[in-house]
Amino acid sequence: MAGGKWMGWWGHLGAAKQRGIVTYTLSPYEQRAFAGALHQAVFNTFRRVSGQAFYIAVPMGLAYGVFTWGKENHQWRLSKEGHALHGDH
Amino acid sequence: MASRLLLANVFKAGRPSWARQAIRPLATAAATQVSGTRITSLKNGLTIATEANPSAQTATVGVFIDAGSRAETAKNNGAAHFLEHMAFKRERDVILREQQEVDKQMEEVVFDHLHATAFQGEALGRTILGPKENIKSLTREDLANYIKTNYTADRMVLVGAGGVDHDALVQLAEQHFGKLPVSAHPTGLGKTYAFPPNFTGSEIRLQDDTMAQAHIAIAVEGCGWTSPDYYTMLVMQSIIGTWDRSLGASAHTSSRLSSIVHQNKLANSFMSFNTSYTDTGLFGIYFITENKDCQDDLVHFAQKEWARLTTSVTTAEVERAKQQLKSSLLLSLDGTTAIAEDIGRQLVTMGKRTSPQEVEQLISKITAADVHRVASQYLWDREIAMVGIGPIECMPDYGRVRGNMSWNRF
Repeated sequence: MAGGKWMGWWGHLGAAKQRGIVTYTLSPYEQRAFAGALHQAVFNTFRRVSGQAFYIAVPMGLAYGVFTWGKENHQWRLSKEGHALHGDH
Repeated sequence: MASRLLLANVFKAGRPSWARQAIRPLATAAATQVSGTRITSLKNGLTIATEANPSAQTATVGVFIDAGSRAETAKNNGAAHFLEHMAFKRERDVILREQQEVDKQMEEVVFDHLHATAFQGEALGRTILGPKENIKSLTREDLANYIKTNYTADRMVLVGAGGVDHDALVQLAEQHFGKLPVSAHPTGLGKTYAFPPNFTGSEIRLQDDTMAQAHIAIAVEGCGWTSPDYYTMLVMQSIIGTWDRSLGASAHTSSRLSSIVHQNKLANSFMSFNTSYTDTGLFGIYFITENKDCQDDLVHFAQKEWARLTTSVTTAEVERAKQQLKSSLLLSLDGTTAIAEDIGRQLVTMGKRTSPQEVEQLISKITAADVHRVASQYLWDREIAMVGIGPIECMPDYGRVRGNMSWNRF
Protein backbone atom coordinates (compact mmCIF):
# COMPACT_ATOMS: atom_id res chain seq x y z
CA MET A 1 0.00 0.00 0.00
CA ALA A 2 1.79 3.06 -1.20
CA GLY A 3 -0.03 6.37 -1.30
CA GLY A 4 -3.14 4.71 0.11
CA LYS A 5 -3.60 2.71 -3.08
CA TRP A 6 -2.61 -0.88 -3.97
CA MET A 7 0.26 -0.77 -6.45
CA GLY A 8 -0.36 -4.16 -8.00
CA TRP A 9 1.21 -7.57 -7.85
CA TRP A 10 4.88 -8.31 -8.67
CA GLY A 11 5.57 -7.47 -12.30
CA HIS A 12 2.74 -4.94 -12.29
CA LEU A 13 3.98 -2.41 -9.77
CA GLY A 14 3.26 0.40 -12.21
CA ALA A 15 6.80 1.13 -13.35
CA ALA A 16 7.42 2.68 -16.76
CA LYS A 17 8.01 0.21 -19.60
CA GLN A 18 11.68 -0.65 -19.87
CA ARG A 19 13.28 -0.71 -23.29
CA GLY A 20 16.78 -1.02 -24.73
CA ILE A 21 18.34 -2.65 -21.68
CA VAL A 22 20.98 -5.12 -22.83
CA THR A 23 22.51 -7.54 -20.33
CA TYR A 24 25.37 -9.97 -20.93
CA THR A 25 26.10 -12.81 -18.52
CA LEU A 26 28.98 -15.26 -18.49
CA SER A 27 28.45 -18.57 -16.72
CA PRO A 28 30.28 -18.82 -13.39
CA TYR A 29 31.78 -22.07 -14.66
CA GLU A 30 33.40 -20.19 -17.56
CA GLN A 31 35.09 -17.80 -15.17
CA ARG A 32 38.34 -18.34 -13.25
CA ALA A 33 37.33 -16.99 -9.87
CA PHE A 34 40.76 -17.67 -8.29
CA ALA A 35 42.84 -16.76 -11.35
CA GLY A 36 46.38 -15.89 -10.12
CA ALA A 37 45.29 -15.79 -6.46
CA LEU A 38 48.47 -17.42 -5.11
CA HIS A 39 50.76 -15.23 -7.24
CA GLN A 40 48.85 -12.11 -6.19
CA ALA A 41 48.97 -13.21 -2.55
CA VAL A 42 52.75 -12.79 -2.64
CA PHE A 43 53.61 -10.18 -5.25
CA ASN A 44 50.59 -7.88 -5.14
CA THR A 45 50.66 -7.90 -1.34
CA PHE A 46 54.35 -6.92 -1.42
CA ARG A 47 53.63 -4.10 -3.89
CA ARG A 48 50.76 -2.71 -1.84
CA VAL A 49 52.59 -3.00 1.48
CA SER A 50 55.78 -1.38 0.18
CA GLY A 51 53.72 1.39 -1.39
CA GLN A 52 52.20 2.34 1.99
CA ALA A 53 55.29 1.55 4.12
CA PHE A 54 56.61 5.14 4.07
CA TYR A 55 53.37 6.61 5.43
CA ILE A 56 53.20 4.10 8.26
CA ALA A 57 56.86 3.49 9.12
CA VAL A 58 58.00 7.16 9.36
CA PRO A 59 55.25 8.42 11.72
CA MET A 60 55.55 5.23 13.77
CA GLY A 61 59.33 5.67 13.99
CA LEU A 62 58.85 9.29 15.05
CA ALA A 63 56.25 8.38 17.64
CA TYR A 64 58.44 5.58 19.02
CA GLY A 65 61.38 7.99 19.20
CA VAL A 66 59.34 10.55 21.14
CA PHE A 67 57.97 7.82 23.41
CA THR A 68 61.37 6.29 24.29
CA TRP A 69 62.90 9.76 24.75
CA GLY A 70 60.07 10.72 27.10
CA LYS A 71 60.34 7.50 29.07
CA GLU A 72 64.12 7.79 29.48
CA ASN A 73 63.85 11.44 30.40
CA HIS A 74 61.17 10.66 32.96
CA GLN A 75 63.32 7.92 34.54
CA TRP A 76 66.30 10.29 34.60
CA ARG A 77 64.25 12.97 36.28
CA LEU A 78 63.33 10.52 39.01
CA SER A 79 66.99 9.67 39.61
CA LYS A 80 69.25 11.41 42.17
CA GLU A 81 71.15 13.04 39.33
CA GLY A 82 67.94 14.45 37.91
CA HIS A 83 66.74 15.64 41.27
CA ALA A 84 70.10 17.24 41.83
CA LEU A 85 69.80 19.19 38.61
CA HIS A 86 66.12 20.07 38.67
CA GLY A 87 65.61 19.34 42.32
CA ASP A 88 62.89 21.43 43.87
CA HIS A 89 62.43 19.03 46.78
CA MET B 1 19.98 -18.54 -40.77
CA ALA B 2 20.58 -21.57 -38.62
CA SER B 3 16.87 -22.00 -38.25
CA ARG B 4 16.67 -23.08 -41.86
CA LEU B 5 18.22 -26.35 -40.75
CA LEU B 6 15.72 -26.84 -37.99
CA LEU B 7 13.36 -29.71 -38.16
CA ALA B 8 10.31 -27.59 -37.52
CA ASN B 9 7.76 -29.40 -39.57
CA VAL B 10 7.54 -32.63 -37.63
CA PHE B 11 3.81 -32.26 -37.35
CA LYS B 12 3.42 -32.34 -41.09
CA ALA B 13 4.46 -35.98 -41.08
CA GLY B 14 1.58 -37.89 -42.63
CA ARG B 15 -0.47 -40.71 -41.24
CA PRO B 16 -0.86 -43.99 -43.11
CA SER B 17 -3.80 -43.78 -45.42
CA TRP B 18 -6.09 -46.50 -44.10
CA ALA B 19 -8.51 -45.92 -46.90
CA ARG B 20 -5.96 -46.69 -49.56
CA GLN B 21 -4.80 -49.78 -47.73
CA ALA B 22 -8.33 -51.10 -47.74
CA ILE B 23 -8.49 -50.82 -51.51
CA ARG B 24 -5.13 -52.52 -52.06
CA PRO B 25 -4.62 -54.91 -49.17
CA LEU B 26 -1.44 -56.54 -50.46
CA ALA B 27 1.72 -54.51 -50.85
CA THR B 28 3.03 -54.59 -54.39
CA ALA B 29 6.63 -53.56 -54.84
CA ALA B 30 7.07 -50.86 -57.44
CA ALA B 31 9.58 -51.64 -60.15
CA THR B 32 12.04 -49.07 -58.91
CA GLN B 33 14.99 -48.16 -61.04
CA VAL B 34 16.62 -45.89 -58.50
CA SER B 35 20.17 -47.13 -58.10
CA GLY B 36 22.18 -45.84 -55.11
CA THR B 37 24.46 -42.84 -55.18
CA ARG B 38 27.34 -42.96 -57.67
CA ILE B 39 30.39 -41.00 -56.55
CA THR B 40 33.40 -40.08 -58.70
CA SER B 41 36.37 -37.86 -57.83
CA LEU B 42 38.28 -35.82 -60.39
CA LYS B 43 42.08 -35.47 -60.26
CA ASN B 44 41.82 -32.04 -58.65
CA GLY B 45 39.67 -33.47 -55.84
CA LEU B 46 36.25 -32.31 -57.08
CA THR B 47 33.61 -34.88 -56.15
CA ILE B 48 30.70 -35.74 -58.43
CA ALA B 49 27.74 -37.53 -56.87
CA THR B 50 24.55 -38.49 -58.63
CA GLU B 51 21.41 -40.37 -57.75
CA ALA B 52 19.74 -41.20 -61.04
CA ASN B 53 16.03 -41.83 -61.21
CA PRO B 54 15.09 -42.40 -64.87
CA SER B 55 11.39 -42.05 -64.11
CA ALA B 56 11.90 -38.48 -62.92
CA GLN B 57 10.76 -35.85 -65.37
CA THR B 58 13.26 -33.29 -64.12
CA ALA B 59 16.77 -33.16 -62.73
CA THR B 60 18.43 -30.99 -60.10
CA VAL B 61 22.12 -30.24 -60.53
CA GLY B 62 24.01 -28.15 -58.01
CA VAL B 63 27.49 -27.36 -56.76
CA PHE B 64 28.01 -27.44 -52.98
CA ILE B 65 31.05 -25.77 -51.42
CA ASP B 66 32.36 -26.19 -47.87
CA ALA B 67 32.38 -22.46 -46.99
CA GLY B 68 30.25 -19.94 -45.11
CA SER B 69 30.60 -17.99 -41.89
CA ARG B 70 32.80 -20.74 -40.39
CA ALA B 71 35.40 -20.08 -43.10
CA GLU B 72 35.22 -16.30 -42.65
CA THR B 73 37.05 -13.84 -40.45
CA ALA B 74 35.69 -10.78 -38.63
CA LYS B 75 36.91 -8.68 -41.58
CA ASN B 76 35.43 -10.64 -44.47
CA ASN B 77 32.34 -11.95 -42.61
CA GLY B 78 29.51 -11.93 -45.14
CA ALA B 79 31.70 -12.73 -48.16
CA ALA B 80 30.10 -16.10 -48.92
CA HIS B 81 26.63 -14.58 -48.82
CA PHE B 82 27.82 -11.65 -50.94
CA LEU B 83 29.07 -14.12 -53.56
CA GLU B 84 25.69 -15.86 -53.52
CA HIS B 85 24.19 -12.53 -54.58
CA MET B 86 26.95 -11.88 -57.13
CA ALA B 87 26.00 -15.16 -58.79
CA PHE B 88 22.57 -13.68 -59.46
CA LYS B 89 23.98 -10.25 -60.45
CA ARG B 90 22.53 -8.35 -57.56
CA GLU B 91 23.75 -5.28 -55.77
CA ARG B 92 24.91 -4.22 -52.31
CA ASP B 93 21.57 -2.48 -51.67
CA VAL B 94 19.69 -5.74 -52.10
CA ILE B 95 21.81 -7.40 -49.40
CA LEU B 96 21.28 -4.45 -47.05
CA ARG B 97 17.53 -4.65 -47.65
CA GLU B 98 17.64 -8.41 -47.04
CA GLN B 99 19.40 -7.71 -43.75
CA GLN B 100 16.64 -5.27 -42.75
CA GLU B 101 14.07 -7.97 -43.52
CA VAL B 102 15.97 -10.58 -41.49
CA ASP B 103 16.22 -8.19 -38.53
CA LYS B 104 12.42 -7.98 -38.50
CA GLN B 105 12.08 -11.77 -38.15
CA MET B 106 12.42 -12.45 -34.45
CA GLU B 107 13.29 -16.12 -34.93
CA GLU B 108 16.31 -15.14 -37.06
CA VAL B 109 17.35 -12.47 -34.54
CA VAL B 110 17.04 -14.91 -31.60
CA PHE B 111 19.11 -17.61 -33.31
CA ASP B 112 21.75 -15.13 -34.50
CA HIS B 113 22.14 -13.93 -30.92
CA LEU B 114 22.15 -17.50 -29.62
CA HIS B 115 25.03 -18.39 -31.96
CA ALA B 116 26.81 -15.13 -31.14
CA THR B 117 26.78 -15.85 -27.41
CA ALA B 118 27.29 -19.65 -27.52
CA PHE B 119 30.16 -19.42 -30.00
CA GLN B 120 31.53 -16.05 -28.90
CA GLY B 121 34.98 -15.32 -30.29
CA GLU B 122 34.53 -18.09 -32.89
CA ALA B 123 33.76 -17.89 -36.61
CA LEU B 124 30.55 -19.90 -36.08
CA GLY B 125 29.23 -17.10 -33.87
CA ARG B 126 29.11 -14.73 -36.83
CA THR B 127 26.12 -14.49 -39.15
CA ILE B 128 25.86 -15.48 -42.80
CA LEU B 129 24.98 -11.96 -43.93
CA GLY B 130 27.76 -10.28 -42.00
CA PRO B 131 27.58 -6.91 -40.27
CA LYS B 132 26.25 -3.86 -42.13
CA GLU B 133 29.76 -2.34 -42.20
CA ASN B 134 31.13 -5.37 -44.05
CA ILE B 135 28.26 -5.43 -46.56
CA LYS B 136 29.07 -1.79 -47.34
CA SER B 137 32.85 -2.15 -47.37
CA LEU B 138 33.60 -5.55 -48.95
CA THR B 139 35.69 -4.99 -52.08
CA ARG B 140 36.22 -6.98 -55.24
CA GLU B 141 39.62 -7.94 -53.89
CA ASP B 142 38.15 -9.31 -50.63
CA LEU B 143 35.78 -11.52 -52.60
CA ALA B 144 38.51 -12.67 -54.99
CA ASN B 145 40.69 -13.64 -52.01
CA TYR B 146 37.78 -15.48 -50.42
CA ILE B 147 37.21 -17.45 -53.61
CA LYS B 148 40.91 -18.24 -53.90
CA THR B 149 41.14 -19.59 -50.34
CA ASN B 150 37.82 -21.39 -50.03
CA TYR B 151 36.32 -22.19 -53.42
CA THR B 152 38.79 -24.93 -54.23
CA ALA B 153 38.04 -28.19 -56.06
CA ASP B 154 38.74 -30.40 -53.04
CA ARG B 155 36.03 -28.57 -51.06
CA MET B 156 33.42 -28.79 -53.83
CA VAL B 157 30.78 -31.37 -54.66
CA LEU B 158 28.83 -31.46 -57.91
CA VAL B 159 25.51 -33.17 -57.27
CA GLY B 160 22.88 -34.46 -59.68
CA ALA B 161 19.53 -36.00 -58.75
CA GLY B 162 16.62 -37.20 -60.85
CA GLY B 163 16.94 -37.60 -64.60
CA VAL B 164 20.74 -37.34 -64.79
CA ASP B 165 23.40 -39.50 -66.40
CA HIS B 166 26.41 -39.91 -64.10
CA ASP B 167 29.00 -40.42 -66.85
CA ALA B 168 27.76 -37.44 -68.84
CA LEU B 169 27.92 -35.25 -65.72
CA VAL B 170 31.47 -36.43 -64.93
CA GLN B 171 32.46 -35.58 -68.51
CA LEU B 172 30.96 -32.10 -68.23
CA ALA B 173 32.64 -31.59 -64.85
CA GLU B 174 36.03 -32.54 -66.29
CA GLN B 175 35.46 -30.09 -69.12
CA HIS B 176 34.33 -27.13 -66.99
CA PHE B 177 35.67 -27.76 -63.47
CA GLY B 178 38.79 -29.77 -64.36
CA LYS B 179 41.06 -26.73 -64.05
CA LEU B 180 39.76 -25.46 -60.70
CA PRO B 181 42.58 -24.83 -58.21
CA VAL B 182 43.30 -27.13 -55.25
CA SER B 183 43.84 -26.01 -51.61
CA ALA B 184 47.42 -25.63 -50.41
CA HIS B 185 46.78 -28.42 -47.88
CA PRO B 186 43.80 -30.51 -49.02
CA THR B 187 42.22 -32.26 -46.03
CA GLY B 188 39.33 -34.10 -47.64
CA LEU B 189 35.62 -33.42 -47.44
CA GLY B 190 34.25 -32.95 -43.94
CA LYS B 191 37.72 -32.49 -42.45
CA THR B 192 38.35 -28.81 -43.24
CA TYR B 193 38.60 -27.67 -39.61
CA ALA B 194 41.20 -29.04 -37.23
CA PHE B 195 39.47 -27.99 -33.98
CA PRO B 196 35.80 -27.68 -33.06
CA PRO B 197 34.80 -24.18 -31.95
CA ASN B 198 34.55 -23.45 -28.24
CA PHE B 199 31.06 -23.38 -26.71
CA THR B 200 30.75 -20.72 -23.98
CA GLY B 201 28.05 -20.87 -21.31
CA SER B 202 26.58 -17.37 -21.46
CA GLU B 203 23.49 -15.25 -21.99
CA ILE B 204 22.23 -12.19 -23.86
CA ARG B 205 19.09 -10.35 -22.70
CA LEU B 206 17.50 -7.58 -24.72
CA GLN B 207 14.66 -6.21 -22.62
CA ASP B 208 11.90 -4.44 -24.48
CA ASP B 209 8.63 -4.23 -22.53
CA THR B 210 6.88 -2.58 -25.48
CA MET B 211 6.95 -5.88 -27.40
CA ALA B 212 3.83 -8.05 -27.08
CA GLN B 213 5.65 -11.38 -26.86
CA ALA B 214 8.81 -12.56 -25.18
CA HIS B 215 11.23 -14.74 -27.15
CA ILE B 216 13.37 -17.09 -25.08
CA ALA B 217 15.90 -19.63 -26.34
CA ILE B 218 18.01 -22.01 -24.26
CA ALA B 219 20.60 -24.35 -25.77
CA VAL B 220 23.37 -26.72 -24.86
CA GLU B 221 26.23 -27.71 -27.14
CA GLY B 222 24.93 -30.39 -29.51
CA CYS B 223 26.72 -32.77 -31.80
CA GLY B 224 28.10 -32.49 -35.33
CA TRP B 225 26.89 -34.26 -38.47
CA THR B 226 29.39 -37.08 -38.11
CA SER B 227 28.72 -37.81 -34.44
CA PRO B 228 27.40 -41.31 -33.63
CA ASP B 229 24.89 -39.57 -31.34
CA TYR B 230 23.42 -37.50 -34.20
CA TYR B 231 20.19 -39.47 -34.65
CA THR B 232 19.72 -40.00 -30.91
CA MET B 233 19.80 -36.22 -30.47
CA LEU B 234 17.13 -35.91 -33.17
CA VAL B 235 15.00 -38.45 -31.29
CA MET B 236 15.46 -36.38 -28.11
CA GLN B 237 14.38 -33.28 -30.01
CA SER B 238 11.26 -35.12 -31.12
CA ILE B 239 10.46 -36.30 -27.57
CA ILE B 240 10.50 -32.73 -26.26
CA GLY B 241 8.56 -31.79 -29.36
CA THR B 242 7.30 -28.73 -31.14
CA TRP B 243 4.00 -27.13 -30.26
CA ASP B 244 1.85 -24.17 -31.14
CA ARG B 245 -1.37 -23.19 -29.38
CA SER B 246 -3.01 -22.61 -32.75
CA LEU B 247 -2.64 -26.29 -33.66
CA GLY B 248 -5.99 -28.04 -33.95
CA ALA B 249 -4.84 -30.77 -31.56
CA SER B 250 -2.89 -28.42 -29.34
CA ALA B 251 -4.22 -29.95 -26.12
CA HIS B 252 -3.59 -33.50 -27.25
CA THR B 253 -0.15 -33.64 -28.84
CA SER B 254 2.11 -36.37 -27.58
CA SER B 255 4.92 -34.42 -25.97
CA ARG B 256 4.46 -34.07 -22.20
CA LEU B 257 5.77 -30.53 -22.20
CA SER B 258 3.03 -29.46 -24.60
CA SER B 259 0.31 -30.69 -22.19
CA ILE B 260 1.80 -28.72 -19.31
CA VAL B 261 2.28 -25.61 -21.42
CA HIS B 262 -1.24 -25.87 -22.84
CA GLN B 263 -2.99 -26.49 -19.53
CA ASN B 264 -1.24 -23.64 -17.76
CA LYS B 265 -1.21 -21.29 -20.77
CA LEU B 266 2.53 -20.85 -20.37
CA ALA B 267 3.43 -20.10 -23.99
CA ASN B 268 2.08 -19.31 -27.44
CA SER B 269 4.45 -21.82 -28.99
CA PHE B 270 7.66 -23.69 -28.40
CA MET B 271 10.07 -25.41 -30.72
CA SER B 272 12.67 -27.96 -29.79
CA PHE B 273 15.69 -27.62 -32.08
CA ASN B 274 18.81 -29.57 -32.93
CA THR B 275 21.14 -27.70 -35.28
CA SER B 276 24.27 -29.51 -36.42
CA TYR B 277 27.46 -28.25 -38.00
CA THR B 278 30.65 -30.04 -39.04
CA ASP B 279 31.93 -30.76 -35.54
CA THR B 280 29.51 -29.09 -33.14
CA GLY B 281 25.88 -28.06 -32.84
CA LEU B 282 23.16 -26.52 -30.72
CA PHE B 283 20.42 -28.52 -29.01
CA GLY B 284 17.73 -26.57 -27.26
CA ILE B 285 14.30 -25.06 -27.09
CA TYR B 286 12.80 -21.79 -28.31
CA PHE B 287 9.70 -20.28 -26.68
CA ILE B 288 7.42 -17.49 -27.73
CA THR B 289 5.13 -16.34 -24.92
CA GLU B 290 2.85 -13.48 -24.02
CA ASN B 291 2.32 -14.83 -20.49
CA LYS B 292 4.92 -12.45 -19.09
CA ASP B 293 4.53 -13.42 -15.43
CA CYS B 294 5.03 -17.17 -15.81
CA GLN B 295 8.29 -17.37 -17.72
CA ASP B 296 9.99 -19.04 -14.78
CA ASP B 297 7.36 -21.82 -14.81
CA LEU B 298 7.83 -22.24 -18.55
CA VAL B 299 11.61 -22.60 -18.27
CA HIS B 300 11.27 -24.81 -15.18
CA PHE B 301 9.00 -27.37 -16.87
CA ALA B 302 11.12 -27.45 -20.02
CA GLN B 303 14.17 -28.16 -17.87
CA LYS B 304 12.25 -30.82 -15.99
CA GLU B 305 11.59 -32.56 -19.31
CA TRP B 306 15.30 -32.28 -20.20
CA ALA B 307 16.21 -33.85 -16.86
CA ARG B 308 13.71 -36.64 -17.51
CA LEU B 309 15.52 -37.51 -20.76
CA THR B 310 18.52 -38.44 -18.64
CA THR B 311 16.72 -40.10 -15.77
CA SER B 312 13.42 -41.67 -16.72
CA VAL B 313 12.32 -41.32 -20.35
CA THR B 314 10.10 -44.25 -21.34
CA THR B 315 10.41 -46.71 -24.22
CA ALA B 316 6.95 -45.68 -25.46
CA GLU B 317 8.06 -42.07 -25.83
CA VAL B 318 11.27 -43.08 -27.59
CA GLU B 319 9.42 -45.34 -30.03
CA ARG B 320 6.90 -42.61 -30.84
CA ALA B 321 9.67 -40.10 -31.42
CA LYS B 322 11.54 -42.57 -33.64
CA GLN B 323 8.49 -43.05 -35.86
CA GLN B 324 7.90 -39.34 -36.07
CA LEU B 325 11.57 -38.67 -36.90
CA LYS B 326 11.67 -41.37 -39.56
CA SER B 327 8.60 -40.07 -41.34
CA SER B 328 9.75 -36.48 -41.11
CA LEU B 329 13.25 -37.26 -42.43
CA LEU B 330 12.05 -39.54 -45.23
CA LEU B 331 9.17 -37.26 -46.28
CA SER B 332 11.56 -34.33 -46.49
CA LEU B 333 13.31 -36.16 -49.35
CA ASP B 334 10.38 -35.47 -51.65
CA GLY B 335 11.59 -34.27 -55.05
CA THR B 336 14.91 -34.04 -56.83
CA THR B 337 15.88 -30.66 -55.30
CA ALA B 338 15.50 -31.97 -51.76
CA ILE B 339 17.47 -35.12 -52.65
CA ALA B 340 20.25 -33.11 -54.33
CA GLU B 341 20.53 -30.85 -51.28
CA ASP B 342 20.65 -33.88 -48.98
CA ILE B 343 23.45 -35.50 -51.01
CA GLY B 344 25.39 -32.23 -51.23
CA ARG B 345 25.11 -31.49 -47.50
CA GLN B 346 26.11 -35.03 -46.51
CA LEU B 347 29.13 -35.13 -48.82
CA VAL B 348 30.38 -31.67 -47.84
CA THR B 349 29.97 -32.28 -44.11
CA MET B 350 30.73 -36.01 -43.80
CA GLY B 351 32.51 -36.94 -47.02
CA LYS B 352 30.10 -39.83 -47.56
CA ARG B 353 26.46 -40.56 -48.37
CA THR B 354 24.03 -42.09 -45.88
CA SER B 355 21.10 -43.45 -47.87
CA PRO B 356 17.51 -43.09 -46.59
CA GLN B 357 17.53 -46.87 -45.93
CA GLU B 358 20.63 -46.54 -43.74
CA VAL B 359 19.08 -43.58 -41.91
CA GLU B 360 16.00 -45.70 -41.22
CA GLN B 361 18.15 -48.52 -39.84
CA LEU B 362 20.22 -46.15 -37.67
CA ILE B 363 17.06 -44.68 -36.12
CA SER B 364 15.46 -48.10 -35.60
CA LYS B 365 18.41 -49.21 -33.47
CA ILE B 366 17.97 -46.40 -30.90
CA THR B 367 16.70 -47.50 -27.46
CA ALA B 368 15.60 -45.66 -24.30
CA ALA B 369 18.99 -46.58 -22.80
CA ASP B 370 20.68 -44.73 -25.69
CA VAL B 371 18.58 -41.64 -24.97
CA HIS B 372 19.52 -41.82 -21.25
CA ARG B 373 23.21 -42.10 -22.14
CA VAL B 374 23.24 -39.32 -24.77
CA ALA B 375 21.12 -36.98 -22.61
CA SER B 376 23.42 -37.48 -19.64
CA GLN B 377 26.35 -36.66 -21.91
CA TYR B 378 24.94 -33.57 -23.64
CA LEU B 379 22.33 -32.18 -21.22
CA TRP B 380 22.89 -33.21 -17.60
CA ASP B 381 24.80 -30.47 -15.75
CA ARG B 382 26.08 -28.95 -19.01
CA GLU B 383 26.78 -25.33 -19.83
CA ILE B 384 23.92 -23.44 -21.47
CA ALA B 385 23.57 -20.50 -23.82
CA MET B 386 20.49 -18.32 -23.30
CA VAL B 387 18.82 -15.50 -25.21
CA GLY B 388 15.84 -13.43 -24.09
CA ILE B 389 14.24 -10.71 -26.19
CA GLY B 390 11.16 -8.64 -25.35
CA PRO B 391 9.24 -8.35 -22.05
CA ILE B 392 11.57 -10.71 -20.18
CA GLU B 393 11.58 -9.27 -16.68
CA CYS B 394 10.27 -12.57 -15.28
CA MET B 395 12.74 -14.73 -17.21
CA PRO B 396 14.74 -16.66 -14.61
CA ASP B 397 18.28 -15.65 -13.81
CA TYR B 398 21.09 -17.39 -15.71
CA GLY B 399 22.50 -18.95 -12.55
CA ARG B 400 19.15 -20.53 -11.66
CA VAL B 401 18.66 -22.01 -15.12
CA ARG B 402 22.24 -23.31 -15.19
CA GLY B 403 21.72 -24.83 -11.74
CA ASN B 404 18.59 -26.65 -12.94
CA MET B 405 20.58 -28.54 -15.58
CA SER B 406 21.04 -31.18 -12.88
CA TRP B 407 18.64 -32.21 -10.12
CA ASN B 408 19.13 -33.73 -6.71
CA ARG B 409 15.62 -35.24 -6.92
CA PHE B 410 13.75 -36.72 -9.85
